[in-house]
Amino acid sequence: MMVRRLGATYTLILLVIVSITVMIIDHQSDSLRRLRLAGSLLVMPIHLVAEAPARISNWIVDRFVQRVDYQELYADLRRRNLELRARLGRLEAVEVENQRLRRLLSASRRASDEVLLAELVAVSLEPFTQQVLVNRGSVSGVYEGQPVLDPNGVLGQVTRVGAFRSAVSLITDSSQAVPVQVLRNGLRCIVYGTGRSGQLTVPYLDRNADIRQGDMLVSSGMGGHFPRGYPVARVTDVTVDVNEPFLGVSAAPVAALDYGREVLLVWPGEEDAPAQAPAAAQADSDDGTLERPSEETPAGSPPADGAAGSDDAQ
Amino acid sequence: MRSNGAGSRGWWIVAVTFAVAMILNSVVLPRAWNGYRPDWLTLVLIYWCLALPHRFGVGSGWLAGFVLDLVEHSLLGQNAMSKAVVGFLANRFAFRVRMFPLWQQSMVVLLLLAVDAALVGWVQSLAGHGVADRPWWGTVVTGTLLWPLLYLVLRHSRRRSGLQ
Repeated sequence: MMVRRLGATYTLILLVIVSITVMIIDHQSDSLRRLRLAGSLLVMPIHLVAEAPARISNWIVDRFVQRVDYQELYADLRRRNLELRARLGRLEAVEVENQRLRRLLSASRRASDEVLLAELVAVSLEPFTQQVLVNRGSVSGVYEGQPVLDPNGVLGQVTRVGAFRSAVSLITDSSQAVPVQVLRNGLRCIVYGTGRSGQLTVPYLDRNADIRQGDMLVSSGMGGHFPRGYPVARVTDVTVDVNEPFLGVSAAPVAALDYGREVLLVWPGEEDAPAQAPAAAQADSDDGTLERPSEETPAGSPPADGAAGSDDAQ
Repeated sequence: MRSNGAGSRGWWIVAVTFAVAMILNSVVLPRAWNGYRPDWLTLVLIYWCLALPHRFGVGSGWLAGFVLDLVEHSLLGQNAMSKAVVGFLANRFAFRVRMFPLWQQSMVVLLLLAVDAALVGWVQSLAGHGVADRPWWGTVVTGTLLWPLLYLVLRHSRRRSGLQ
């Protein structure tokens, strides 16, 4: 009996050490990717059963409760499609013009982003984190760190990849941060998740920074992770506390989160390096080109914008 | 976890209960209820450690936790560690706890669930998922309230399956 108990204690110590090692490896590197892929196949049946109730209830709601008038829906979608196509035609012309102007300025050109449609799967992941599951995995070429959008804006990024399913950390998770700029004036800042659903915060903005309630924050593309120019959040509240060195800015994500909804996995288009920009000015001009909605000339005057949160926009 | 002839015919019930627990852990609930989802897997693990302490303990806890890590796409090893600790504790006190009336047993379960939640929460905050959306004790309380019922159901099915 005594030997057995000692054995259990040693086993516990051993397993705790193994667990901690595995956690550190998993946190610091992606060398456990293969193990995760194999494991994702193993747990696939569990996920399939777990999502079944939501799938069935969706089906029932679609079939019997929500009697859609398909005639009307079709007409509606058709109208909307025409409208969007007309707008897209104009945007394409603008994009060509934009590319030509960028070439003239020898600024970097940007290929368009590739997207893949995925669906949010009704499976609950790790409690106390802001994560969702989507129905695409490494088989579809999904990679860790891939940006995920929904029709309204940035949703989050892929943090764990399985064979057929991947986990997406929402931008509201407290481990997430997205570089953004204020659409109105180009002011650059970083949006941090708070760990509470629907709440974001924008720290480290000077008290005289030009940011107001209702401002739209779009991804700035800084950091090279999220593609540039997608809506991220809307400022909900700006508080000035004289005792604090920075503004208290809170924001709400624009992306909506409902299961069974489509989301977009994005492969951001490559930014070509500027053709013959001087090496010294390159970093600056790269920054400048990210300045989408601002009035400054992109490559000309080196913008004085180093620190995020400076009031460079005025 | 060795199976020796006599008791090996009822092992499917163990597999089924663990699988069902994992499924219940990952079924989507309305968002407001999410913080109060009982941790089914830990409850089932505690049951088997109390019922068959010569078969279930640290090792089975670790294994179950590792699979749960894969299911929840969490940091690998996080649940494995906490479930190993829970398995160890439940296994060690099994002979005493089994003598307790149900409500006292529930208190021990409360303690074990709290240990589990604390360990997982600690690892999560170290890994950068700082602030939680909801009270961490929600899942502990509902798990404890559920224990007597779960215990009776599991005991019934274990006896039916003839597993010793």
